[in-house]
Amino acid sequence: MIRIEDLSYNFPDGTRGLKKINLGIERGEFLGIVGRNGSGKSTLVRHLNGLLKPTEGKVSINGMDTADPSKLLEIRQTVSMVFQNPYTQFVGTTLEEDVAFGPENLALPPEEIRERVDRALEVVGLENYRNHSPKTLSGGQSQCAAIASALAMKSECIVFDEISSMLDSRSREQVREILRKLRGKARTIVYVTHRLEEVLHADRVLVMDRGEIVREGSPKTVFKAPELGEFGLELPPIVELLNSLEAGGFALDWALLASIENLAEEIWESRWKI
Amino acid sequence: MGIKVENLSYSYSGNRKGKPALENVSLEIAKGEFVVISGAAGAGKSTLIKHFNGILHPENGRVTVDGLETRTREVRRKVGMLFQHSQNQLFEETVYRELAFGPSNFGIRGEELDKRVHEALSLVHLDAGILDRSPFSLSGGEKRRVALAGILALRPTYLVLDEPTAGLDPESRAKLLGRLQNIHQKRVGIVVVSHNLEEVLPFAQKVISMDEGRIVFTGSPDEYLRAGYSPVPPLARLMKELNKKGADLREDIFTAEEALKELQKLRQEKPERDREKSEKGAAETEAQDNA
Repeated sequence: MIRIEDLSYNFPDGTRGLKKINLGIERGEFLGIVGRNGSGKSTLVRHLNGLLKPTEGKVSINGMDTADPSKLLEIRQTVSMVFQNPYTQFVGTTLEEDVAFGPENLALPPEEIRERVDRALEVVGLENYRNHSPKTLSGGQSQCAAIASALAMKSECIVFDEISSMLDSRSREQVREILRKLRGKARTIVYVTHRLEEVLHADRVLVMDRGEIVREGSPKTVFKAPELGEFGLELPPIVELLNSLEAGGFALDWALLASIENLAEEIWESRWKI
Repeated sequence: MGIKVENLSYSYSGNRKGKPALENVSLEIAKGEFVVISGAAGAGKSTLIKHFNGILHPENGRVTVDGLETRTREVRRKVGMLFQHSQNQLFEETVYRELAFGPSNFGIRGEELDKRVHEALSLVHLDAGILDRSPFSLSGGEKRRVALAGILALRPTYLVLDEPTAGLDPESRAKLLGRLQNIHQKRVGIVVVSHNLEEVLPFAQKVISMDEGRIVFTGSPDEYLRAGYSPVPPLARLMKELNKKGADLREDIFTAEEALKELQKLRQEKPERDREKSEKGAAETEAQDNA
């Protein structure tokens, strides 16, 4: 659905942001993009809905070139973005109005808008806050509200740009739960983060550094690379544990990471292998 | 001695009718202790720490630092405070003046002042080359370090930090936590407000947990994890699950290395039935190979 060919981008002051990126994203894929601050992750995803235009190369969304101004509206309906700081994105005086803002701009019939807003608020668990002002929501709730706004647009692809870095661990857990629900709905998800534990269950992970894609593959293969440290990343301790158990001859199924209970069960049953 | 809070209550004046931000809070932080204050957004953590150096004064109750009332000037020196967006705390024309600002307000001049500036700079691992630069020309990470150095130049007895790792990537976070550890080793008491507990718990001696303006828990990191006040980090949860099955492992585990060491306690002989099975399997393979 998304195709990036030889994309390079220079910032207005001339510094290089991206260098020769080639990447295809499949419909329904959950793609994780990781890298340290300044590695180019956000710059890359800002190309996915035409917020930034390539200095060289080409980005196309369902065949539409992001450099073509006549396609921009349709591209933005196809790819929604949720940013790190949702406070700056609110426009409505109540949460409900805010979530309805996008669908209203699509000139949909009122019943359809109502339905979409209800559904979106339900998915993120904010149905009881529909009449609250977005300003009174906590950090975690604001982030969920921003996700609801993206959902109400029913875009094919949602890009999450470092949404968890300001959240506490409970809200992070909640956002993860929402992502799990979205995956079941065949949406394409692009998830940018510097916390590797958040992309353990992605279909594919890209590691970026200095404006380039330096590693690419399944989470399992990428997270084995000993050089992740050089890219300013840190393996989640639990993954590091699995890696060292495997190095000692006790290989555990990566899928067990989805449930600590199951992982404990497996370790307990085979504890003679440790 | 230490920071002592007795029956402290506080409500923001615009909110008189609403719930108080702090309700009857009592706690003690000993000299040189490393304390983590946790709690959800809006629990009262930031309101509480602002009482430690007299930014806020108690409505009811009492706060003292090493026996001094927080209205005394000396308390401002003793308790250094780094806010969440500390990069916005800078205002001087050069980094040197930024670092000299605090100590010179306390009458420190000349050679001693110069010494303080360099000492603080080295605690945050910046080099002297930066001293002539404008703080505004620095990167976000450097600004945060300069802000921290500015506080350290006062040689505080206690360093209070509000969400110091928010928004940092893993590399910068690890470096900052390493620096805090060094500062702690110099017997500076450290109080960290954080909701990323897995990062700071390994260093903590005491955890104070708040909810709706009250303290709901005080104890060691291990006790904290067992009490279940916050989502437990995956490794600690793994240990807990194994303990449910009959293991006897520590639950305050944060690194893979520690976890592996604990897990090795579980290692045991291969059970009889499995051994038979695999021997049988081996024999069959052998038979096939021969065939």
